[in-house]
Amino acid sequence: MGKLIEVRDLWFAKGGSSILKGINFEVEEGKIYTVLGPNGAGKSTLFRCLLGIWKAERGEILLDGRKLYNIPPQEKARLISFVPQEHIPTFPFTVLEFVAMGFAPYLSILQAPSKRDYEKAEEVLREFNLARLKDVPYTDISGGEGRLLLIARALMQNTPLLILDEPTSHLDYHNQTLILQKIRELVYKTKKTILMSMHDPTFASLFSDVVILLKGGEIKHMGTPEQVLTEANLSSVYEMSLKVISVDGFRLVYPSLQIVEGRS
Amino acid sequence: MASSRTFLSRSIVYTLFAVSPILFGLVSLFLGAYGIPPLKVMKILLDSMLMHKSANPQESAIILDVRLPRIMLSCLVGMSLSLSGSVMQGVFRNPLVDPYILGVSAGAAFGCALSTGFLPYLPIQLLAFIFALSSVLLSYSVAKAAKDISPLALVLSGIIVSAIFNALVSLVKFLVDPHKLQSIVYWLMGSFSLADWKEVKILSLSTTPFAILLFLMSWRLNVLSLPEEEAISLGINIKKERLIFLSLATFIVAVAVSSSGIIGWIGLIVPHIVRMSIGPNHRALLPLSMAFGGSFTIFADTVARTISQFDIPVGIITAVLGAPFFVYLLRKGGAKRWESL
Repeated sequence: MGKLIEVRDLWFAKGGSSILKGINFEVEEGKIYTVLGPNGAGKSTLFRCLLGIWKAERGEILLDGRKLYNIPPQEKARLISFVPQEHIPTFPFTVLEFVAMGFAPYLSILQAPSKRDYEKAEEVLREFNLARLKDVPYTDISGGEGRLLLIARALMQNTPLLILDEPTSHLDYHNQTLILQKIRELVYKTKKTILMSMHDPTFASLFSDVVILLKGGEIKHMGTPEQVLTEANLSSVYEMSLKVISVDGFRLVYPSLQIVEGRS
Repeated sequence: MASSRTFLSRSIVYTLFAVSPILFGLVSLFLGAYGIPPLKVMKILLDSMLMHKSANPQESAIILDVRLPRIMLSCLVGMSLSLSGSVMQGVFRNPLVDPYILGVSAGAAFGCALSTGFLPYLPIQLLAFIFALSSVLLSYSVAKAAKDISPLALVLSGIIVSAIFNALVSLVKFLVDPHKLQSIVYWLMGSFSLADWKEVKILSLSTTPFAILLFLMSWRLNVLSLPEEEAISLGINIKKERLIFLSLATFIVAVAVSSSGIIGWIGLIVPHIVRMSIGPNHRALLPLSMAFGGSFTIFADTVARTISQFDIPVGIITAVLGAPFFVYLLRKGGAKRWESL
C-alpha cells in the first residue's frame, strides 16, 4: 500500500493562537479516513493545510511522496479534490456546467471542456441521479442534491484522493446515509482514498476504515473504529459522558442521559 | 422535446443579441437632426460600398463621415465597457461591480483635466489613458502593500484611489478658467460628438486582440468565479489569473474611456441583463454582452443626439436609463450579492 499523504509535525497558527499543534499521520491508498472532533478542534484547518489553501507555519506535508508546496497548482488538483463544507454560490451556472468545472486541472487557461468531456460529465450526473437536472441552475436544486453535485465535480477531477469537509452537514438522515454510502461505493469501485470529517461517531464507525480523534489541534487517538471509538476516548474528547454499544462489529454511540430525579 | 424547445429558444435569444448592433446601427443611421429619408440613406451606403460617386456629397458626408463613425464609435465603446464589465463581475464574483471599480474613470478624468487645464499640447486621450491605467495600478499596489489582494481589498483600494483622483480633478477644476472648466465638465459626462474614423480605427485595432484573448479564456473565468477555496482546489492559480483577467479588462476599458469620456452604467447593467437572459456561462456571456453593449450604447447615443436640438452628453442618457434598472435589481435582492465578496 502506497502512502498518499504523510504529515510530519504540522503546526498552524492564526491570529496568534495555534490551531494545529504538531500533527503527525499518514494516509494509505484505498481507505476511508474520518476525522472526528468537537467544533474548533482544527478539522477544517487541517484540510485547508493539506490542500495548500493555507500554508502551514511549520512541519512537512508530503503528497504522493513529494513536498506539497513544490507541486504546481494544476498538478496538485490532479492529486487531491475537495468538497467544501459549505458552498456559497456566486453565479447560477447550470448543473452540467458546474460539474464540468471539475475538468479545470486538465485544461490550460485558453481551453474549455470538449464535447467528449461534457458527455463524461453527463455520465457522472447519471450515476448520481442528477442527469435530469443538467440544464437547471445549480442554485435551484435541493441541499442533498447540491452536496452530491459537489462530490460529482470532485470526481470529475479524477484524483486518487478526495477530501470532504463534513459531507453530511445540513443534510437530513436519508441524505446523510445516501452520501456516505456513495462515498463507500466509490472507494470499493474505484480504489479512491477518502479523508473526511464528521460529527456523528456512529456514522464514522459505519463508514470508515480509520478514525482520527482530533482535539485542540492535536491527534488524540487514531486507528480502526473498534480501537478508537471507546467510551473512554470519546467521553474525554467530547467532555461528556458517552455510551458505546457494539453491534455487528459497529459502534453505536449515544450520550448517557442524566435523568432528572423527582420530575413529575 | 422540451430540451429541443429550450435549445431553439436559446438560439433565438443568442441570435437576437448577436445581430442587435447591426439592427440598432442601421436604424440609428436613419435618424438625425438633418432629415434624410431611409431609402436615400441606403442608397448612399450602397454607393459608397460600390465605390460610386455620390449624387449628393453633402448628404453622403453626413451619413458616411458624421453618423457612421459616431455609430461605430459608440458601438465599440459600448462593447468595450460591457466586455470588461462582465469580466470584472466574474473576477470579483459579484454582478454589481462595474468596470470603473478599480479607479479607471477617476484616473481618466484626472488625465483629461490635466490635459485641458495645464498641458494642452498633450492629447486628452493620451493623458486620460495613461492615468486610467496608473490609477488601477495604484489600486492594485495599495492592496498589495496591505498584503491583501482579495476582491474586497481591491474594491476598497479602488475606492481610495478614486477618491484621491477625484479630489485632484476638483482641484484642477477650481484652478482653471471657466472656459476650460466647461470643456472638462463636458468631457467627464461622456460624449461621442467628436467621433471620427481615426478614433474608430484606434479603438478597434487596440482592443480587438485583448477581446479575442478574453474570449479564449472565457471558460476559465467560470472556474475563477467560484468561491476562492474551490477555485484553488480546482488547480487555479487565482492570484495570477485574476491579475491576467483584470489587466486585460482594464486595458480595454481605459482605451474606451479615454476616447469618449466617462459613460456610466453600461458596463454594469448590460452584463447583468445578458446574464439574466442567457445565464452566467462566460463563454456565451462575454461575446453576447459585448454585442448587446454595442446596441445599447448606439441606442443611448441616438437618443442623446436626436431627443432635442442639443447634443446631450450620452452619459446623462445612460444614467437616466440605467438608474431605474438598478433600483429594480436591488428590489430583486441584488444587494445580497455583496456578501460573496
